[in-house]
Amino acid sequence: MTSGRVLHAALHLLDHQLRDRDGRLCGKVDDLELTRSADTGTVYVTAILSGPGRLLYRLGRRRLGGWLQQTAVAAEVPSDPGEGRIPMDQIASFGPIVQLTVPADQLASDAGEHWARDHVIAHIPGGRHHAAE
Amino acid sequence: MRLSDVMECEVHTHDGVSVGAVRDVRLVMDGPMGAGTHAAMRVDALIVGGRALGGRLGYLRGGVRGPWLVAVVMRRIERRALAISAADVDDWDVDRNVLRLSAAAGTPTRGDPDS
Repeated sequence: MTSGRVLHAALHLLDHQLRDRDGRLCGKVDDLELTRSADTGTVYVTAILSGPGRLLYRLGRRRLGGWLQQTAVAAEVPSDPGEGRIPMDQIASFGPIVQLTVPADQLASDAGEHWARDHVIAHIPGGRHHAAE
Repeated sequence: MRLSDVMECEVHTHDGVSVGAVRDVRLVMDGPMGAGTHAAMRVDALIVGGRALGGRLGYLRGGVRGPWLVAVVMRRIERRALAISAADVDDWDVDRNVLRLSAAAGTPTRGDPDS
């Protein structure tokens, strides 16, 4: 019998929405990083993986996923040294929405949106100005 | 190691007999407190065998109870699933897509994967 909160990874975490500290939606949980303790052998979840290429990797497109992850994240989010890795200490709560303690701008999970904005939308006539509110 | 690597694995007994493919991973938040606001999330068990459909719809482990006829069908589909304690896994060889159980674990028997 376990005393802590029980979650099933595929059911309760994968593909769930990420929300940054300002309430902005900033990607989905694409994968989890697991680390085995050298001392006890216990395996812990050490990070959420999210961003370009992570979902492709999970779906079996590993080379394409790795290339997209390196290309898009390195180009768009130089402030994210983890390349789409969100450590557990940056997560405030788990639920239907996974609440983060960091702003979306620092996350690689936002890199796809940044890339599409700069490389696709910006080249469409009229695509360089903000939408009227 | 990634969760997606583990979920592509098959669980083998120490003697090399296949038990089934990993369908889900049960996590428990009872590890040591880190720098964040919650306890570390420990891999408690592997849900092995059966079909993924009922589990992903929440009938087996998500507390979904109805409609009752669908619940009965889903539970029947998932009756071959079993939970294997992560502590019984001796070798996490995700490169070869095999998780090998320790000799002490023996051969897992079918039971309630929620337990």
